[in-house]
Amino acid sequence: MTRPPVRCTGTADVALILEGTYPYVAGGVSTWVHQILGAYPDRRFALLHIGPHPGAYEEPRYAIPSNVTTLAEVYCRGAVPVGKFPVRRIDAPRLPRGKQPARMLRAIRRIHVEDVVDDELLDDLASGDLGVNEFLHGDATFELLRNELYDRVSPSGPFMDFFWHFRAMHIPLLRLLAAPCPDAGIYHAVSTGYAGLVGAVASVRTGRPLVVTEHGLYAREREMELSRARWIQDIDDRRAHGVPRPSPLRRFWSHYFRMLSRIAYHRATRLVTLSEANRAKQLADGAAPHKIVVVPNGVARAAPTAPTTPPAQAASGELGPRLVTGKPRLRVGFVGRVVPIKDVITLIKAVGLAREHVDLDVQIVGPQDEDPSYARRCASLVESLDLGAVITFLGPRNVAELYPTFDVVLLTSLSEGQPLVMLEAYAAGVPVIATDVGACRELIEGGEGDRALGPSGIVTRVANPPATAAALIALARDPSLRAAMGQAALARVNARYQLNQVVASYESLYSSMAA
Amino acid sequence: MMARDSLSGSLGAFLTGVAVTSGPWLLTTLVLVLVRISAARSGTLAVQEVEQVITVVYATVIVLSAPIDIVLSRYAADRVYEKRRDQIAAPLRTMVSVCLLGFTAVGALAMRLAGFPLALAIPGTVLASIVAAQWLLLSAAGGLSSPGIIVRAFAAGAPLSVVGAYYLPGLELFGATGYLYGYGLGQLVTLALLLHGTMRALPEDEDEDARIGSAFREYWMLAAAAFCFHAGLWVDKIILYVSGVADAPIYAACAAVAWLTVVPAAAFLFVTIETAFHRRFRAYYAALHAGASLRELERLVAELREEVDETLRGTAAVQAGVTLIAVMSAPAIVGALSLHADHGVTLAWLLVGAGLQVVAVSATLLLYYFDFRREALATAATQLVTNGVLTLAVGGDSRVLGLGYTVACAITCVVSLTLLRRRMEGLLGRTFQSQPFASEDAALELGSV
Repeated sequence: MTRPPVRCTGTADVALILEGTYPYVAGGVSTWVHQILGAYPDRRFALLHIGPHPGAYEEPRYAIPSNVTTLAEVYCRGAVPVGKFPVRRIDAPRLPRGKQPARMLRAIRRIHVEDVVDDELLDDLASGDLGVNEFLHGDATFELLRNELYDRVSPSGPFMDFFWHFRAMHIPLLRLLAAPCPDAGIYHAVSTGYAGLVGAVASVRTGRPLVVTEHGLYAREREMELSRARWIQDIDDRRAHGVPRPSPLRRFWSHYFRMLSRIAYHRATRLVTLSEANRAKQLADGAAPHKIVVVPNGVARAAPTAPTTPPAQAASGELGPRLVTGKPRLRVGFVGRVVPIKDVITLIKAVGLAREHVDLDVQIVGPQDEDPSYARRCASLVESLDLGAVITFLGPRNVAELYPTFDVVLLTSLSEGQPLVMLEAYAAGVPVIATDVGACRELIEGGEGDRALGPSGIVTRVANPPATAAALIALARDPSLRAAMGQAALARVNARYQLNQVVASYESLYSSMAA
Repeated sequence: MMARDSLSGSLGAFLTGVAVTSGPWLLTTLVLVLVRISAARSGTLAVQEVEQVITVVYATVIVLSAPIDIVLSRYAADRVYEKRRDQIAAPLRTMVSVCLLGFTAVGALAMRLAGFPLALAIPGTVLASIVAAQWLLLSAAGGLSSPGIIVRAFAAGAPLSVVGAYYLPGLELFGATGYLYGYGLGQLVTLALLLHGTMRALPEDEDEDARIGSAFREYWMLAAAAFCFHAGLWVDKIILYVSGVADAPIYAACAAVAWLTVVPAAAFLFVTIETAFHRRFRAYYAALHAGASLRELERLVAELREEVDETLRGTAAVQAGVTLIAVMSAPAIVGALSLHADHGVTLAWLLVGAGLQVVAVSATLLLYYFDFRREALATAATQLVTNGVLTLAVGGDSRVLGLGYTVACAITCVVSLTLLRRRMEGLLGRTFQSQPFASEDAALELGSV
């Protein structure tokens, strides 16, 4: 069911374009958005939320501030708008004939065939001259598929599969570009992908500037998901003794998402990224150097002095590790959604390996309802590894109260931007074990300005339970190392990752855009 | 039978084709001819009025029930395809009931408009509801059960119609109306056997909540095409009768004879469609789902197009031969029917027209096969409009009676072949681009949204 917008009171100062995040999905990006909204009470914000389909989300997870003038929702799937009325299915009573190919179709062709992003491509996308009905049933679309795209993408593959993937790929694009975008002085997409595309087209149509903030790197995250996606069937290759060949449709989709990112990069006046590591990747992906600004995430200022004892021990009133079984003990916290990209499975396996050597008390804090089947897999794994006494799923909690109770925060994500979880842990003086993704290494080992502070945790390899287990064991056995890392964490967050720095950066950005 | 690759196999296949495509109609015609012959021998002239009643009944029922029949046929075919045969029985019973009741009313109205006396109108009305239900079951049973059930039902009822029509007029209770009651009795037996055979072909567990109403909305184009097609077969006769053309009955009789000549071509079409054509058709659509490449699909489409051309050429060739023989034999046929020699010209025109029409019907059937509904409707509407207009334009001059029908059939032939050729050229694109896009696709879950 489509919920009505909060209110709509004319032009906003900034339209935030959000894909699968605020205000319906709790997480780091949503928290960041909420911080931004709260940081500028005198600016009017419009929110455009892009969701998968109506009914995907329940009520908002955040109290929407009063400076939000509009909350509009658009969907990639669901009822397909045809003319004035949305319909659940499109039948094809008539095929348009003899028409010149639409400019949007030309743009779609260029996305897949020419691999070039320019102003002409954006103008064609913004033309809005291709309806869903014409796309689905027109002769020009089929001719494009038949004469150019199929041979380019999957020359000997199942044509039926290619056909449906092509449709499924572009229906969301057409639907999103047909939906009205709130009127605003600045368009601010909080990712590339669909949000970046909608922002870019809105910018072209209105002549207003576009800012893009990338927390994670959308195209690379999609590529990772697509490499594992089960809805793309690989090709049985008997010549390869039954080992399937990767379907060219995976590359087809990856290329598409890369092009969406490049479209946003091309149109944006400013590209904001969270770390130097991500900046380098954006440059490699085609972003112009002069557009990129690094504005790390920030948290509210922490206490000026670090505690002299590890937080968990201070909370328990003990001065040394509590030895229950003769092994060192460690209280571990995971804060985040229980979803595949957080790779909680690796966390559980690592805990299973480490508990042979150390006593662990692991608390998994965060919602489990975003991917119930994955959450069930995690729970089953805990049970099968007999870790029920070690690992506890707490669900959503007030994490600010929990950080001081942890000896270490553990992240085993497959992909991250610049996790707010790590900064929040640092603010509580808690070191972090994290996988080498996104800006995690930079946050742990330091960048140009803060490397001298020393490491504030341990970096591990992705999807590697033994490496993660080794890190847990190392910190469990060495309380002084933990303490030193905790102090480095606190110093690091106070030096470089302060919320007021973020607020000032965006204020400057918005002001320069508005001017 | 064809797979035996022998003369006997081929002959058997074609005779089966005759039985399936024309069996019921041939048996009915045979019965009516036998009724006429027995009445002529007994010296009873009242049989002419009985024949008129039967003609009005069949014309009314066939034209008005055609939309219902085709929708039910398509509904049943879809349920069979979806493996939901349990959803057929309840709607079928509903439609049989509707036909029996509805066409009682339609029949009564037709009898009144035709001005028949009550003694004939009553059995005529009853006959209308029986025939309507028969044709409804024919359309449903064709796909559900073996063609033998249909042929056996008509074969059982036909002798009873003949016997009844022979004996009942001799009884004082019936008099001349005995022809109708006797004929109707046999048709009632046919209806009962059709109903029994059809219901046996359906599963015992049925979905009693199944409804057919939405099928009329979805297939309204098919219904309109069926109406136009059957109306197109009768419009010239109706115009001539209503216009008071003296030779209208002669025209109708010659038209009936002309239609007999399409039996061999119809049988050929049936056998070809059920064998070679069907193999190509299935190969193409099976390849779609089996993951065929574009090149493979293009090759299969080309072969299918070739097969369509072969089917039409073969049908036209068979029909051309039969028409040629029949036209050359027209004088003899006219003599055998005790008609005036001038009517040979009418018969000749109608023979040529029927020959052209069967080619148009073949093309139309192929349009239906590919579900090109709009084109099938266009073809049927062309036949109806041109036949009506040209029959009116030609008028009742016996020298050109039948010319309007022939030219109409020629036009329809051209239209149907052109539309079919155009659609076949774009078959691959049409196959894909006509696919509806479901609003939800559970197979595609993009992780980002």
